[in-house]
Amino acid sequence: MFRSQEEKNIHTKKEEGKQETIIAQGVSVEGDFHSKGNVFIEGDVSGSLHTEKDLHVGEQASIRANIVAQNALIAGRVEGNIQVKGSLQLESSCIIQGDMSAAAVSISSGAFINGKISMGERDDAQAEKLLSETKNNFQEQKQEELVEA
Amino acid sequence: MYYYIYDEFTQEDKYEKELLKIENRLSDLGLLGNIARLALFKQADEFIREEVRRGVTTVVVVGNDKTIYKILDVVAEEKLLFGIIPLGPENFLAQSLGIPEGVAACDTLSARMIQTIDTGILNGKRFIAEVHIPETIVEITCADNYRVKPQKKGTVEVRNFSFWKDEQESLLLSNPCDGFLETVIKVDYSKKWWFKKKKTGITRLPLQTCTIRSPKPVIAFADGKEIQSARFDISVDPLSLRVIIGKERVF
Repeated sequence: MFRSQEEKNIHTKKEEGKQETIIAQGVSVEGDFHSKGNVFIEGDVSGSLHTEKDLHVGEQASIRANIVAQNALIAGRVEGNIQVKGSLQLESSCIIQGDMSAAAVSISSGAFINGKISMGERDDAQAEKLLSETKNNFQEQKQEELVEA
Repeated sequence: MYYYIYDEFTQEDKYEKELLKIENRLSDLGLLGNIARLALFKQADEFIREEVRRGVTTVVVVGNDKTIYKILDVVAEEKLLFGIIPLGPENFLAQSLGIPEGVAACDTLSARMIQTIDTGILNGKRFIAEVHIPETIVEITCADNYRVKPQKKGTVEVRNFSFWKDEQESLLLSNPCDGFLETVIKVDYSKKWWFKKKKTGITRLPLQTCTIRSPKPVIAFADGKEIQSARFDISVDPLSLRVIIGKERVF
């Protein structure tokens, strides 16, 4: 997630059988975007965005679309509703204009949110499990990037 | 049963000795078969379809990337096994498949490591590796659902697998057996300023079909072959080509 500047838009070795999509800076996407794999966005997206796996919205990204994902980490600008089945992580640089729903939510200090957050019925064990799984996944990615660097 | 297709340029004097060595080695390995020589008014399609009726199962091209491009459609349609003995200049495809040049390719042929790979189709014509459109602004319509537009001039590549394996590109290796083509768009998004380092954004989209449109005709290179058009319809034909590969392949 926190890649060095040079590697920010370079995709690391693809895991076998998974189709990862990267929308880098300098590119804009319009329409109904649907993916079966992980999606990384640093560019502009308008329309709708649906992924069956995880979504990572970078600091430079600007999204004017409704989002549906398994898990999401948002560090950029989103104008639209966000629906996440698992965990939603909002970084300090994010700007969200829209409603959100997720099983677990983590908000960093500095995040700008203008909308409603729905979490369904409270399930502490489920929420705890989802948050720790997401943190472990991102920490593993960070370690891999550091090793490669 | 093997069938050898020699490209026209291999009949030049400078290739005579090499061809003789190749034929001797093939004879030692027991891989001899019928030979056809391409010429200006002779199309490979006719030869190959005729030989298929006689029971040929393996077609081996003796030539370069342009030779492969000429016979690829008919080999995939007839579901033949495809081999290459690279000779002459511009053999990037053979290199990517791990096949050494000249006589050494005969041993690769004999080892018979077979891989079934996807092929791409560009405006009705097949390609194996990639379609490359140099610095231009185009609009890409993906699976009729969404459009991708680079904001500045950039290169667009639609890859089945990548020719190159340098440090940066190795991070973008495509899989030629996954039923997808990787569309890679490279755009320089840095603001122009003296001494400022160039920043390139690399967008990557796994797609099965896409259409690339440009307001003016642009030149695209499909496996090195130049094609000019304002519209390119590209799709993948999954697992449509059986090819003999070598150890040093890029995938």
